[in-house]
Amino acid sequence: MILLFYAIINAAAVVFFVRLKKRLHILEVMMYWFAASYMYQNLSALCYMNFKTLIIPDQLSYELAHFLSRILLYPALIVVFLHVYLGLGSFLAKLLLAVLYIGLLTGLEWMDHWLGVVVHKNWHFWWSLVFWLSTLLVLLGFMTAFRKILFRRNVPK
Amino acid sequence: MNVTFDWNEWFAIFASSIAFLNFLIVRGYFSAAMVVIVVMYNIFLVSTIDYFLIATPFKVYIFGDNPSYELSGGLFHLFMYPSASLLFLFLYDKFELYGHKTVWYILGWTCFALLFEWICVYNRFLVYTGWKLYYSIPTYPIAAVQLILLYRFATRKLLQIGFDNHYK
Repeated sequence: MILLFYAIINAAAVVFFVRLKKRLHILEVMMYWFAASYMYQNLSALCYMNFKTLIIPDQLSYELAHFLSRILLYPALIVVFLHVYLGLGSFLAKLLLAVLYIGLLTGLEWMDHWLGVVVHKNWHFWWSLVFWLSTLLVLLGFMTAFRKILFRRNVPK
Repeated sequence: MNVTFDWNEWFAIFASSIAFLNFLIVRGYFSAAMVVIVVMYNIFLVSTIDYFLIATPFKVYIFGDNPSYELSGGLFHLFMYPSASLLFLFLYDKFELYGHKTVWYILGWTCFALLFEWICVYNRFLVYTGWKLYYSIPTYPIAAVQLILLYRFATRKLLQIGFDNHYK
């Protein structure tokens, strides 16, 4: 049942993402997707395997539910964040978007907790806020750098 | 977490250093954009697969001394696989190993990768807790084909935005 629920929300996220007319080049979408997923997988792996502050139940359905979210749902949402960010002009609007997104991603992380997919143990709530803020900042930095590389005109040597 | 700095950590450092030297040699062949694309793709792919198989409920292998996320595993994710992939693509493109030559090329790399995996197991960098070496046989050719497809796709897309892949 839990896997079905996660399969539906992940499929919905992917369908929404595919239908969205994006401001990002296809190669950008791929790179930011991979980077976002890698960030979240690292947090999950370190906290689950090393610090024992995240618990994934010993059942295939829970692991698959978490697996789907870390390679589809979270990266898709973060790439949409970058897409919306590029369309905003003022600093205040960008700041508001970042605050909304930190709330959304933290909310999803704690939905995982309440549904028993990824259970937080000895966890301080502010760690979640700091992680998602850091993730968005890293992705914004990566986007700025990659766009500089991708869209400069290349002159053969 | 019970990490001890012993031979398998040194093995990871040596192997990653050699791979990184290869990276320094071949990276100039590709554009900066292509290097970022191949490196990022590899880091995502191997960390996803490793975490999926190391975590519950499979737990089929571990890196190093214990079932935690060790630095040695991170070294391989960040340096070994991306560097090996760039070397693979460099030889593929430089010597134009296209068509039926690709089949032999992938076969050769699969043999090399299996030998290297066995060396990792022998040096206790990689410890099987359910995995078998022969399970890896289909994974290398699949990964190689995916990598070539990614490379060709990225080359096409870069050319569309006026990006000559072989110049920085």
